[in-house]
Order: sequence, then structure tokens, then C-alpha cells
Amino acid sequence: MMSKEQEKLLYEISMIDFAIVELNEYLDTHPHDTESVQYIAQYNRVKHKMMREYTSKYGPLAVRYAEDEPEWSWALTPMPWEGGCK
Amino acid sequence: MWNYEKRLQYPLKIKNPNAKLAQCIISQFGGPDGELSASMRYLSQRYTMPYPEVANLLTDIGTEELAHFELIGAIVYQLTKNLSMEEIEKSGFAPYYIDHTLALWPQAAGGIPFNACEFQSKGDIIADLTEDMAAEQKARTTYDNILRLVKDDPDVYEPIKFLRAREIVHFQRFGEALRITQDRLNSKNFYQFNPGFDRCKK
Repeated sequence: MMSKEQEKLLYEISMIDFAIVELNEYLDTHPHDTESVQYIAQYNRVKHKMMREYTSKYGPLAVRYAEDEPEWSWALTPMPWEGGCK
Repeated sequence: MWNYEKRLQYPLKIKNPNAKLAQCIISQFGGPDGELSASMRYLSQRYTMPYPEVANLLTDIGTEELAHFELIGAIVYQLTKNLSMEEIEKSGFAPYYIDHTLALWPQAAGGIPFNACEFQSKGDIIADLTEDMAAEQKARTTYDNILRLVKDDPDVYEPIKFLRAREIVHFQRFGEALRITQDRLNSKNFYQFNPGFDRCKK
């Protein structure tokens, strides 16, 4: 089971990433909107920082964030759909 | 190519299994206006899109649809987790259970298997974008229909509401893509030539 703290960080990553997904689709049809280009760059930096924090505490959410560790935690952490009905 | 992030796009923790509901929601997994159809439609159409904005939009929305496909799968999975034999019989889930146990298989609510004929990839930008706009509206309707069935369970209602809102945003984006396209075609006759097939004079 995830701790409250882990759940919170995952939730914040989801929120930041949602902003990135939404801005990216918007920018596909508005590529000259400079303000939005700055927003997405800023959110990308924040997400990168949070992904690194998450990896160091709970293991990687993506293989490209995996770090030196005694075992391959990517293979050992549960799939994201686990955690519902007991 | 793609990279996977081991998380759902929207948080999901369903407390009460409900096999009856799962059989309806599975339509957005493999049904005619479901997320599998959506992602395959956009990711197939993008190769022949003559304008980079539109090809990129199809890639990015098609990618988000894959995350929706995963989220719908997770909803169905959690709704059918740890079902007893009695619940399987009572909920009408038995015919599905016979062929798939509790596995996910892309089908419509009525049991019709997923079929590529549920979407088009026509190689004509106006035809394809118009199909995409209609697809987003049809998916929105399906989510509206599901929402009427799930009012009592906020664990299911909230993620479905999120998915419904995405259909509306994607409809808007495809509308913008169609506008970008028409601005580049002959304003007196959009259909004069197909920029995905006919050659422009150099």
C-alpha cells in the first residue's frame, strides 16, 4: 500500500503532467503563443524535479529516471491499477 | 516511439466492485467510440497529414487516448476484482467470464468485439478531421450515458467525468486543426485538391 506522502507526491505529478499534456495539445494549434511556450517549459522543469524526487524515495515512474540501485525496482513496484477493491 | 510512465492519468481507487457497471464501461475500452478506436484512429491517420501542426496534434491526442485506454481498463479491472461466483451469476457477468475470466478484452457493452471498421483513416485531411470531431462527440455522448448510470459511486463518477471533459477539449483542438487546414486551401473550393495526395505545383 502507498503511504499518504507517496500518494500526495504522485497526485502532484499527475496534476503537473496534466497541465503539460493540455498545453502541448493547445500549442499544436497555437505554436506562436509565446506565453504558453514559457508555461510548458516551466511545468516541464517542475515535473522533472518531482519525478527525480519520486524516484529517489519510491522507485522510478519511468525507466529513464532509474538510478543506481542494488536491484531493479522498476520490475518490483506494483502496476498503477493495483490499489482498488480489496 | 513511446515511453511509459507507470501511473494512471487520473487517480483511481474504486472501493466497491460492480460487475454490472463494468460491462457497460468496457464499451469505452473496445467499443465503437472507445479509447482503443480513438488512439488507433489518430495514430493511423497522422502519417498522411500534410501539415505538421495537424500530424503533431494527432500524435499527441492519440498518445493521450492510450492513457485513457489504460484508465478505462483500470476502472473495469477494479470493478471486477475479487468477484464471487454468486456475484458473477447475479450481475449478468457470466457470459464474459466464460471467455475471459476477469481479464480485459476489447469489446462493446453489447459484447461485439473490437473492430478496426469502427474508425476511418481516409487519407484526406478534411474527411479525417471531420471524422475525428465526430468521434470526440460520440465518445462524449457515451460518457454522458455512463455518467447517468454511475451517479451513486464517486470513485467511478469522477474519473469518467474527467474523461468526458477531455473529449470536449479534443473536439475543440480538432476544430482548430480543421480551421488551420482550410486557411491553407483554396478559399473558394476546399475540395479542389487533396493536399495529402495531389501534388502542389512547385
